[in-house]
Amino acid sequence: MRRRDFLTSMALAGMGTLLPGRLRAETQVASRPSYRGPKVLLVRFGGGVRRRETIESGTTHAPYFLHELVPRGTFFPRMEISQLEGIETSHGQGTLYLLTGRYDRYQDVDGRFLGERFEAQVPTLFEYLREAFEVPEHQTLIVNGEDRTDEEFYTFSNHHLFGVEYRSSVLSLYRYKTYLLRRALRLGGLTEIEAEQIRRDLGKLEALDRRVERRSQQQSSAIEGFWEGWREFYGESGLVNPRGDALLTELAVRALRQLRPQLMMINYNDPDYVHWGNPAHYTRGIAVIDQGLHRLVEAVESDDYYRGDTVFVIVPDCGRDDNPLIRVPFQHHFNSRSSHDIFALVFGKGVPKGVVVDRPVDQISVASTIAHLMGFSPSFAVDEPLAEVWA
Amino acid sequence: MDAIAPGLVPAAVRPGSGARSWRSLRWIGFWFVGTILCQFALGALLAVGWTRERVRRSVLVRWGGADRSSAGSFEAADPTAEASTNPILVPSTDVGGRPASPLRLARRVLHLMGQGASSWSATWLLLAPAQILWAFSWYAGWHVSFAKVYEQSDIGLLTAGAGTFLFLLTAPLVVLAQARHAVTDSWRTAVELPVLWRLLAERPWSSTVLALGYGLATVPLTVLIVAPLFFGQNLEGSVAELRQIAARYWFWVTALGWPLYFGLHLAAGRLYGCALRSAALAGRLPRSLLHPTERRLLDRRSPCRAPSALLRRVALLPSVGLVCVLWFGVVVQNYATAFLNDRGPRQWLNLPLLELPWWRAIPDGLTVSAASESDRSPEVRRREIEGPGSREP
Repeated sequence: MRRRDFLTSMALAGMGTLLPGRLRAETQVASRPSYRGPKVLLVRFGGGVRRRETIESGTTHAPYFLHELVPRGTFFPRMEISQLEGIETSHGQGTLYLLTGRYDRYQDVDGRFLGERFEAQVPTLFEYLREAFEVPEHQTLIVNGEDRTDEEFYTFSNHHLFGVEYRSSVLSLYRYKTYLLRRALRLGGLTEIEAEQIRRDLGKLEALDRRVERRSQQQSSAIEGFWEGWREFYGESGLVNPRGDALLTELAVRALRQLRPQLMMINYNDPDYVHWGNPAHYTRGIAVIDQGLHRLVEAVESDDYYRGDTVFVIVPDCGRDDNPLIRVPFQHHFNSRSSHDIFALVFGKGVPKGVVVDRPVDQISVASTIAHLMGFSPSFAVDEPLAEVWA
Repeated sequence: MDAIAPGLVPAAVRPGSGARSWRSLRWIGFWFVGTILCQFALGALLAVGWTRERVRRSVLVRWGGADRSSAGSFEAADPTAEASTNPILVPSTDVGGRPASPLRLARRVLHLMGQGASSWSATWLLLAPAQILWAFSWYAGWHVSFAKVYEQSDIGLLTAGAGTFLFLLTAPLVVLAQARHAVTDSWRTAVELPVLWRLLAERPWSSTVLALGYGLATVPLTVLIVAPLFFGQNLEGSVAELRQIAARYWFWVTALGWPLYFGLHLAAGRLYGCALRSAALAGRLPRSLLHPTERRLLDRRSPCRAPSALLRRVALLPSVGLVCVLWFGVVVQNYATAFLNDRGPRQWLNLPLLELPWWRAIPDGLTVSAASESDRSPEVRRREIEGPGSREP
């Protein structure tokens, strides 16, 4: 970067910190540099998994992850979620700990019992990235499951310096359904009753995004194009495309090809179905994620744009219980000791291979680690990156 | 007393000299033996037979006007009453005063298990459709969901609703069916739903109170079934130690459940007896529909007060509604325990207070805590797999 450009951007950044997010975004668009760092795929090995069924070699259900991927990078088998007062071990909270780099206490914004509609008070990784670099919205992605619509809205925080103008995009069946409904209204040819029903259904879906009621709900043209391609291939019934975590893998692989994300988070969650008491739901869910990782790695390695220039960060949202007195010892993740025990693997460009870090590390270190890899500063995250990743 | 347990009660403690203390001791023994039996499925079956025998005894005593001697003389003429009077499972002598022997013990145990199997099978026939639908709703409903075919997710809800509907229709009748089966010893009488319905309609408020009893009794047991989810967290120890903790815990859960089971079935027997008598004597239940044993019992005195006709008519509809609500509470608790501590197929196919009084649920695969195992594993250390400091280009 030339000195003039550097001084200009520093001056504007200094002025910009005094402005709210929207004005800052508009002011800085000319001075924001292009992103030249590695692409990062953050995989939430999620739904809550125990070390026993993932990273212990005698009992793993993720053999590809353990035997093929772990030797390729830097492995943290003793990552933990801190046992702080009020810090819960669950999916929404774990995802936000990863994205914000802080342990905050979250409560459902509507006060619903068992509700998980949380709003981050500090910026997410996507916001930091887009604030620092010229990265369009459709190149910062969350790929989300169809039964966790609350996590659709982790795309931006409530922080006054960041927020909606730096949000990421989301790929999920929920978004696809809203696309189909808007498309149906746009194309017309409906009876009044049909149109009214579609408007009602669309209203219900859009009402979930309570923070953007007056803003246009339209997705970007790139995302609209993505869904058009999906619709042409899989149709509209929802019965042809894969479902569950296999769907997330398919969405992610297509997104790599079509949208070229610089930072993408994939929120796997199938193991959580063990809540309904069938142990096979849990172990099968882990196996499905393992297969998904295989596909993602193959997709990255077969694409010139990503090969050699991508870093994978694989980390669970939380652990699971370990209760010997009940038939399904891992049925829940109720803040027991083992529900705080997770792991992390980082591999890819510039990351040491075959390293196992034998010390306890924190889940919130993932955010500052990714920030360091991508070249931006997460001002409001806890600054304790995993230094072994670039040692 | 002699008619009840000839030769068993020592002369020194017969009526007039500490009979109450002796009776208390017998009931403690009854509770303890029952708790032990209900630790296992076969033992629970035996306990069902034992309970059935006691219900029969209780109904006979009440229809005999609480006169044990008249009940004893009734039983002397009743060929199904052999050795059925002793509360501690096996008398030291039988009704005829002959000393008991190991062979008689074995016959007695087999007899009780047969009674238990007969009672359990009749109950299960009535409840099975509902329970099978519940099991299907849980597993298939969630298998559908796991395949994420949410467009068909109503399968789980609809089958759960259908099962619950069937349960609400049959549960209030099942408790009467069990009592009727116990008294008549006829499998057919347990499934004569029109007669059972008339009995329920004869005593609607009593049926409501009985349903309330079942609902309330389920609550502490639900809490105890779920409790291992909480106190079992972070529990460490050898397999033997953990099994011992689990065994002790379920022993005490059964110690609470067994007397509740027994008490509720006795109460159902009382309700059955009073309802049968008042309905038959008033002509609302034709004698032709009665079992021969029941016809004989109508000739006896009864302490039951007949309800007023007006009250009976007015109370029927609201009490039926209330009964359904109370039994629905039992259903809700069952689903809650499935979510919090799923015990597999028996979660759905056996309601302990209604069917087999068997609560013990030690996991088959009880193993050492995974957390303690990984803490002891030695392999977490720094290593180089492809040489020191190697990186991707």
